[in-house]
Amino acid sequence: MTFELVTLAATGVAYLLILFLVAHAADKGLIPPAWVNNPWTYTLSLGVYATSWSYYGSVGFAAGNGFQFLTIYLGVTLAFVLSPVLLEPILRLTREYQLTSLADVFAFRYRSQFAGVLVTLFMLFGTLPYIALQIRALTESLRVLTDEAPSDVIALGFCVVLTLFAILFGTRHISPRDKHRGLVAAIAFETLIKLAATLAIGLAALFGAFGGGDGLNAWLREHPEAIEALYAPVREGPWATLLFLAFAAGFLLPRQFHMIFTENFDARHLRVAAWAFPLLLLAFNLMIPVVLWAGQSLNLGLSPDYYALGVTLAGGPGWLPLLAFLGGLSAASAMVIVTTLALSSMSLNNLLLPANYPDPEMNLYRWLLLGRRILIAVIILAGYGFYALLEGNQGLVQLGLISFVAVAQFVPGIVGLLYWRRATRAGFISGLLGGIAVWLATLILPLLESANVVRTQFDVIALQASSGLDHWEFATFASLSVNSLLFVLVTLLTRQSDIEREAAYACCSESILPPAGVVTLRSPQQFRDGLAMTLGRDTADKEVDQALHDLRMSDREGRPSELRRLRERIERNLSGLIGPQMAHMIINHRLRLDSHAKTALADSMRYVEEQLEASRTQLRGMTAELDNLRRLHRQILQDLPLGVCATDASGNVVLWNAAMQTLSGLDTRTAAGAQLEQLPAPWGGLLAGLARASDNHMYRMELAIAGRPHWFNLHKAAYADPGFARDLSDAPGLVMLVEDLTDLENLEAELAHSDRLASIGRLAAGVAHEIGNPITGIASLAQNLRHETDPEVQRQSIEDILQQTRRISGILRTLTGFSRGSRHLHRRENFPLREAVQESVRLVELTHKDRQVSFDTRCPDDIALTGDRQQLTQVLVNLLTNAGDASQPGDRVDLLVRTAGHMAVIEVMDQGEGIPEELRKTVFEPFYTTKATGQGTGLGLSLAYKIVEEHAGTITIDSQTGVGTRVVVTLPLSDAA
Amino acid sequence: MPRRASNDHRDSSVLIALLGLLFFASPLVGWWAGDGSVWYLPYLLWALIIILAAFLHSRQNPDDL
Repeated sequence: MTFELVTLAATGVAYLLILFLVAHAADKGLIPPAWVNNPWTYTLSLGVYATSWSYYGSVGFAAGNGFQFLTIYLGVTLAFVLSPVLLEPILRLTREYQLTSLADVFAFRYRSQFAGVLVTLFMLFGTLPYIALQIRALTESLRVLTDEAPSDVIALGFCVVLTLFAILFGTRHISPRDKHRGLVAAIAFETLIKLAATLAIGLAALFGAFGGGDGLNAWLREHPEAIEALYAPVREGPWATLLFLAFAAGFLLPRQFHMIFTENFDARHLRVAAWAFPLLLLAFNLMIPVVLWAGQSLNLGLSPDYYALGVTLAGGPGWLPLLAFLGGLSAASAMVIVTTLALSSMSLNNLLLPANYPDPEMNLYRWLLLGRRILIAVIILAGYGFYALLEGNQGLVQLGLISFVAVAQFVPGIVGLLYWRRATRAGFISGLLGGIAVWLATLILPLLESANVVRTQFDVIALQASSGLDHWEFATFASLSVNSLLFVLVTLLTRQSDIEREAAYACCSESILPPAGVVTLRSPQQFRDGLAMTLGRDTADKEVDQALHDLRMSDREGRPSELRRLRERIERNLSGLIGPQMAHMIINHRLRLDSHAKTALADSMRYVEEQLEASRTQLRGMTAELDNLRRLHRQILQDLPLGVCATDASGNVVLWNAAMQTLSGLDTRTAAGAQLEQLPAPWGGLLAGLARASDNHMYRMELAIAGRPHWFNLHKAAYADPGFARDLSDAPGLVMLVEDLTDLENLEAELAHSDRLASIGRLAAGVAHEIGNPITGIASLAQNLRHETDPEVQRQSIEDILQQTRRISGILRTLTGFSRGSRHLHRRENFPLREAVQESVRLVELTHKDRQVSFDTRCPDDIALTGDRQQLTQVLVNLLTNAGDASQPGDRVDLLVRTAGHMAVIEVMDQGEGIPEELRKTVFEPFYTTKATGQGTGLGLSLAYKIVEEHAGTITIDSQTGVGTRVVVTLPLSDAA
Repeated sequence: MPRRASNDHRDSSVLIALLGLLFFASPLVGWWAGDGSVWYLPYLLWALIIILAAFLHSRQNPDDL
C-alpha cells in the first residue's frame, strides 16, 4: 500500500493546524488553565525527548545493537530518579536567578561571557545535525509511504511552518517568569499523538504479523536467534557508555533543559515527572522488539529505521499508516520547535546581545523579541542546511548520538556547578575546549570525511581500533577524560575571583555567603536614572517598578540594605531578559557598589536567614539540628514578652522582635537595617539616646504615644560579634530591652486613687463631726440674730458666722485637695515640709478625734522638699493614720522632722503594740493589713514606699513589741533650700 | 501513611538510582542478558525502578521542596 504525497501533505498540514489551535486555545484560556498547569501535562511535555530518532530510529537501533537502544531511556530514567539531588537543585537555581538556558547557567556560575558564548556555539554546532535528522526523518517517512522521493519543497515547507509556530507560541513573553502555556500544551498534545501512534504500531505489528501473543511466542520459539540478537550486544557493546550519554542528555539537551526548567510552572511537578516520565518512556519502547520482529518476519525490504511505517503498510486499517506518519511528524516537529526556542534564547543572550547591544533609544523588549524571532528562523534554516548537506549519509542513531556526546561535555561543568565551589572559570573553559576538540576529532571529522566534505590524514578509526574500545566508547571516554582532566588541573592551578566565588556559593544551595558591598545610589529613582542610560527610560522604569513590586518595597525606600536587595532583584529580573552576564555587567556599571563599605550585619543576617529558610528542607544531620536550634533561639527572642532591639556596630537595627513591633507599631521590615536615628519618633530618639547614654539603664521613661502617656524601663548591653560576618569591625553591637510599665503605672495610680478614696471614707465621720459643730454654732448665731437689734452684737454674730464658715471651708478645702489630683501628673515643686506636716495632721485628727489620740509634731520651718506635695502629704497621712490606729486612747503620736546632711529625716512614732518581727518584712506589700475588714485597704504602706522611692528617699520600720513603732522616712532636701 | 522528610527522600532516591546502576551498569547485566532470558526481562527491571520511584514520591510531603 502506498499513499499520494498530496494526501500525506494535507494530513500533515491538518495536524499542524490542530497543533496551532491547541496552542492558541491554551494561550487564550479556552483550555482550562488547570489542565495545562498540572504535573501530567508537564510530564507529557517532557516527551519531547522522544524525537523521530526514538520514534523511527529505535527499531533500527535495536536491529543493529539489540537492547542497547534501551540505554537511551534507561539513562534518562536514572537522571529523573536522581531528581532530588540533580534536577531539583538546578531547577531552584534557574527559578531563583531566572536562568533560561544551560549557557546562561554556566555564564552565571563561572561569571564569564566567554563561557556562555562557548557553550552556545558548541550547543548550536552539536544540535543542528539533530535538527537536520528530524527533517530527514520526515522526508524519509514520506518516501516510504509514497514510494517516491519527496521534493525538497516539502522539507522547506515543514521548516517554515515550524518557524511560524515557534515564533507565534514560543516568543509570546520575553521574561522567563511568564510561561508559554500554549507551547507546553502543544508539546504535551504531540506526545499524546506519538504515544497513541507508537502503541497502535505495536499492536499492528503484534496482530498483523503474528496474529497475537501466541503467534509471537511461536515465532520466537522458531527463531531463538531473534532474542539472542537483542541480548548479545548488551553483553558485548558499549552499554555503560550509552547509559551515561543518555543520563547526561536527559537534562542537558537544549530541548530537555527548556521543558524541564524554563517552562516549569511549579517545582512540585518535577516530583511527579521523576517517575511518570520514565513510565512514559517505557510505554514508548515496550513494543519496539515486537515491531522489529514483525518487520523481520514480514521481510519488508526497508531500512529497519522505518519498520514502524512498514508494518502499518503491510496490513491493517488504512488510517494506521497515516497515524504512524503523524506520530513521526509530531516527534520531529516537537523536537525542532523546542530545540529552536532553547537555542534562540541561548544565542540571543550569549551571541547577539554581547555582539550588538541595542541603543538605549530603542525599546529593549521589542528588540529582544525581534532578535529572538530572527534567530528562530536562522536556526531552523541552518538545520535545513545541515539536512541538505548530510542527507542520506548517516543513520538516525549516529546523528543523535553525536549530539549526545556533545552535551555530555557539560557534565564536568555541571558537577562543578552543583558540588565543587572551588571550580574556576579557567578550569571550566579549558576542560570544555579540550572536550570539544576531542569530540570534533573523534566524531565530526569522520562524519565529514564520510560525506566527502573534508579529507585529512588523521586516522581516528585506527586510533580507536588500537584502543580496543567501541566507536562511541572511545569518543566518549577520550573527550570526557580530556575535558575532566583539564577542568580539574586548571582549576587547581588558578584562583577564583571574588565575584566568581559569590556565584559559586549561590549555586551550591548548602553554602551561604552574605552579599558584600553597599549601593552608592540612594533611592529607587536614582536607580531608574542610572539604568536608563543603558536600558532606555521606559525599560529602566519598568524594571525598577517590577523589582519594587516583587519585593513589596516603597518607591521612597532609602535604607542601604533594602537598596542592596532591590539591586539584586533587578539584576535577577534582567538576567531573565538579557542573560546573567550581561545583566551583571549593566548592574555593576550603572548601580555601583562601594565594595569597601562594610556589609551591615543586618543584611548578612537577613540574607543568611532567607537562604536557610529557602533551603531548610535540604539540611541534614548536624546542620539540620543546628538550624533547629537557631530557629528555637530566634523564636524565643521573637516571643519574649519584652521589646528587644539589637544593633550592629554601625548602629543598624539587626533585630526587632514581636513585642517591639507591638510596642512601637513598626514592623520588622521597616525597622531592620535602619539606623536608630532614622526610626520614626519617638522611638528613634529614645533608642538612639539609650545607645549613646553612659548608663546602661533608664527607668520610668515617659513617652507620649498617640497622645497618651506611656512609661518604659530601658536596658542595654553590648554584645561581641561572634564572628558571624568576618569583615565586620571589632566594635560591639548593642542589645536593648524595652519594658513597658504603662499597665503597671496605671494600676498603681488606680491603687493610689483607691487608697485616697478609702482615706476619705474614713475621714467622712470625722468631717461630719467637725462640720457639725460650726453648723450648729452658725444655726444658733443665726437664730439669735433674728431677734438681735444691737448693731454691735449683730456684727459680732455675723463675724462669728463667717469664722465658722471659714472653718468649714478650710475643712472642705483640705478634704477636696486630698481627694482630687491627677493620677499621673507628678507636679514637682518646692514646698515647706512643715505645711505638709500640718495639713496631714489636720486630716488625721479629723478621723482620730474620737480615739483621744494626740498628735505632736515638731518640724523646723526652714526644711523644704522638692517633689509632688500632694503625694508626700499622702505618705504622711498614711503613716500618721497607721500610728493613730495602732494607738490606744490617751496615747500620743510624735512626728519629728530633722535634717541629716542633704536629707530630711521624718520619724513617726507611736506607743502601740508594735509589729511582730515576722510581719515587718511584709508590711510594705500591697493589700497586706492587720486591721479589721473595712478598716484598712492594705495599700497605705506599700504606696508610701513607692512614693518615697520615686522621690529618691528611703522608708524603714523599727518596732518593738509592747513599746511602739517608729517609721523613719528620709527624703532629699530641696536644692533651693 | 507518614510523610517523609526531604533528606530521607534524597537518600532514598540515591538508593533507587544505585539499584538501577546495579541492574543496568554492573556485571549483573551479564546475568539478565544471558541465555534463556525472556525478552521482556529488561522491561520488568525498568518497571521495578519506576515503581520504587513512584512509591517514594507517594510518601513525600508535597510542600517539602
